[in-house]
Amino acid sequence: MDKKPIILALLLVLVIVTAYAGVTAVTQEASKPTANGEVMLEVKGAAQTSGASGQVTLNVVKT
Amino acid sequence: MKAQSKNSMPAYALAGVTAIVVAVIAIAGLNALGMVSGTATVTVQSSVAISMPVNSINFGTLYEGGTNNTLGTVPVPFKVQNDGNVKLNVTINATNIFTSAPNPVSNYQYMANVSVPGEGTCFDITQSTTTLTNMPASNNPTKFLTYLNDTNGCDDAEIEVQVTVPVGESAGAKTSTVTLIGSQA
Repeated sequence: MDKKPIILALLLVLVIVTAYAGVTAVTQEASKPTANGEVMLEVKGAAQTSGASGQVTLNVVKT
Repeated sequence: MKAQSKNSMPAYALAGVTAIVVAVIAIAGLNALGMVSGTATVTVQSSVAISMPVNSINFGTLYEGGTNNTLGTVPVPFKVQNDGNVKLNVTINATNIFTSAPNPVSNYQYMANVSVPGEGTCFDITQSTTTLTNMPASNNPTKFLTYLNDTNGCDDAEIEVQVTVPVGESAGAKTSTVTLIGSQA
């Protein structure tokens, strides 16, 4: 019995299945957002205060 | 036996080549799917810090009714500096300097001013108190400086002070503590 047709048929099936998987993968990738990564920068503004103080001095004399 | 032209490629050979090509495409597709996107978060903490490089004003001796101020740079005015990394609004309040005239009163006044000689205009003068104004009481911090820069080289301001001794004020040493509080603008 010539086995070539069977081998060819199996190869064709393999080709079709593999091709379908490849095209599906490419299509799914194409439908995804193009950005591969995302960097978020957050500047946190916590309610903070800072204090400092100074002195005013003088000497009062009566006229 | 199949008929086959001399120049045609055998079917199984064609299938093999196709399989290789498709397999490469499939691997490329799967590899593309395998790329993992991620999120990186960078947090920059704001820093609110002020200091007073000049924190003492001594008017010396004054008679009743006498006036002195720092506008002529003698004595030198207070200086406030933004040591943080964000723009600041700053409030001011002070304890009474005269026993006969508690704050706020025209005998004890202040105003924001540009550093001279110094770093130029480092705050928003249109939204700051830049004319002599009665000093707020210690329980009433009042915003007087808006958007004080945090940039090195231009991050300070002067605080001018004027005192007029009330008639009837007792003789002796007088002291007032001026408190500044900075917060993110």
